[in-house]
Amino acid sequence: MRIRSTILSAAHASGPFFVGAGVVGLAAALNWVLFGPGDTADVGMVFLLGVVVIALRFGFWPSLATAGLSGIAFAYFFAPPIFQLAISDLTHLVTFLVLLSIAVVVSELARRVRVQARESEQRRAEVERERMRNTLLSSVSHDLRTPLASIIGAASSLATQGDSLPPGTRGELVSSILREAERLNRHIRGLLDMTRLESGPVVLQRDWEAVEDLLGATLDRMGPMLSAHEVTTRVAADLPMVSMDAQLVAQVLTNLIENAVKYSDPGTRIEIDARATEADLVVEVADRGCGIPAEAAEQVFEKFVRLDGGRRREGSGLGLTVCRAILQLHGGTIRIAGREGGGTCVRFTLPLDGTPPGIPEDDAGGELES
Amino acid sequence: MSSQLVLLIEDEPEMRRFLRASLVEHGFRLFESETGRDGIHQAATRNPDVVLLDLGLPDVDGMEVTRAIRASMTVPILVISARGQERDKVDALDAGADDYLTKPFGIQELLARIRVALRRRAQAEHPEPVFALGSLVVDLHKRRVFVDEEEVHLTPIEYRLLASLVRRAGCVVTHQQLLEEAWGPAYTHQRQYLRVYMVQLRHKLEADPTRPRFLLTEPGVGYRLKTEPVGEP
Repeated sequence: MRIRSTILSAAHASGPFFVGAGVVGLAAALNWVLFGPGDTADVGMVFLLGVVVIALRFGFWPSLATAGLSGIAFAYFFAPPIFQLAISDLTHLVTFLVLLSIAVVVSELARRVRVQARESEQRRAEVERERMRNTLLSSVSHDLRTPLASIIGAASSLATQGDSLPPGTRGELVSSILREAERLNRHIRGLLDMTRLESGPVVLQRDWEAVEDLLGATLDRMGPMLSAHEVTTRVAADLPMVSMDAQLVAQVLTNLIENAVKYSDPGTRIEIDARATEADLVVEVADRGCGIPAEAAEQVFEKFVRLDGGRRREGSGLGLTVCRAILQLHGGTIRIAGREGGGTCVRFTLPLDGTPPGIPEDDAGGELES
Repeated sequence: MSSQLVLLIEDEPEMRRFLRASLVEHGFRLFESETGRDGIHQAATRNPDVVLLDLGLPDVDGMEVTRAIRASMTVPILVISARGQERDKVDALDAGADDYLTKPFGIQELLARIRVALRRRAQAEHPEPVFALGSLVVDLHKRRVFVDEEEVHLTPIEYRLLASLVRRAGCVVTHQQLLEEAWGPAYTHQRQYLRVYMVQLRHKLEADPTRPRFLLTEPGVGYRLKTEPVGEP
């Protein structure tokens, strides 16, 4: 194997030289047929063409070799005396030297153009990266600074003039501090989730889990946030257990339900549906909110993308990115689409790989005796 | 409840300041330790009613502190963890901590957790034979369970799981603890057993298993029998 690959790589490296030799042979044959020996000016032009082609395509050394070989062919076949390497006329030597110098100049020019093209491509990519970085940075700093500004403002008012403020105003300032701190907390949570998922291979703490368990835990934890909406759940009976990292999948459910609450009006219905197909567990979170244009259905999974331009609705623009990263780790998928009648439906799947280990029968096998 | 002694083991000065102000205001006495080693020592000498233990201490990890205190005392231990310390949290709970709080938390949440832990300790010392929570009634003496005054028939394992949760009502019970108590010490890694039986139990006790009133899942940690609403920030 190793010998073969050595030969292959040698062939690869010496390829341009063989091509050069082939071009020289071709030029010589063409010259022989078209012009015959003696017509050194026309013959020289055809060889020159070959050298230029090799210089443009393969660069300095192959073109130099081609030029040398062209010179030999020229001297042997075409410059009198024919079929000897000797050259009778000085002009023929000049032709050969011209061939050489053209090879050097053209290959150098071609090299420069190539380098410049590569550099400008790199610069463009760098500028693009820089722009992305700035967008991310300004988005993050906006999201962190806005609540922080309210907190510092309200807290400093309380600290300097707390005693002279009417109780109503004091109460407002305090609840504003609390609300904004919670908002800050949510942003930081999103950033931490993202950083954790991006910082290297994540080891999933897999276990066989029942999705209704996780759904119940998530809805309970989000309790007060859901009070303005009507939340309905439909979990198919006898859903199989799924091997997953419970905390991460609970995070997916939290992010999706949070989005549904955020992007739909109070009083509307949020429907959560879980069922199994042959190969997957399928969970849908659907709302009657502002919906999503079809062309944005992929874009929203990118970092810091918010469809309203990122200012009106609060949110980190990371929720769906985190969801997708978590589901990909599980070998699952996530998709978002508009709904008939308005609103958005997010569907995610988790593969039903393998079967959970068997459970021993309950020791008495029946009901507890009273 | 007033004038009960809280031992606070926490190295962050600002966190201590917040907890000191709030707990003293709510009628607790407070003793503070900045390191795990000092905390273990203070727990033994001060005999506190509750221990609040931060998991990010500079000298000893939370599990060790928990184990050291548990070795000689039954005082309720609440661990305070930050995101990213999930493993440490579960270790501390398995080692005998009663419950946990995740930073950042509000004072109401802390007070609710302290109340639950204190009540649980009192219950452990003078067990009440009948536990009632809303429409759920568990008669630990007669081993009978009622929901909305209807008797619910449980299998022995389901009953053992429910009884474990009732004995620690309001506090989180880890997967390992439940497996040990319902199946035995050899089964502590068979979490899928637990999952199956908890699903069954929930279907027998809850009207809507996805909106549980009694049996709460704590993803990655264990289960909790709800006793009062505890707000999340």
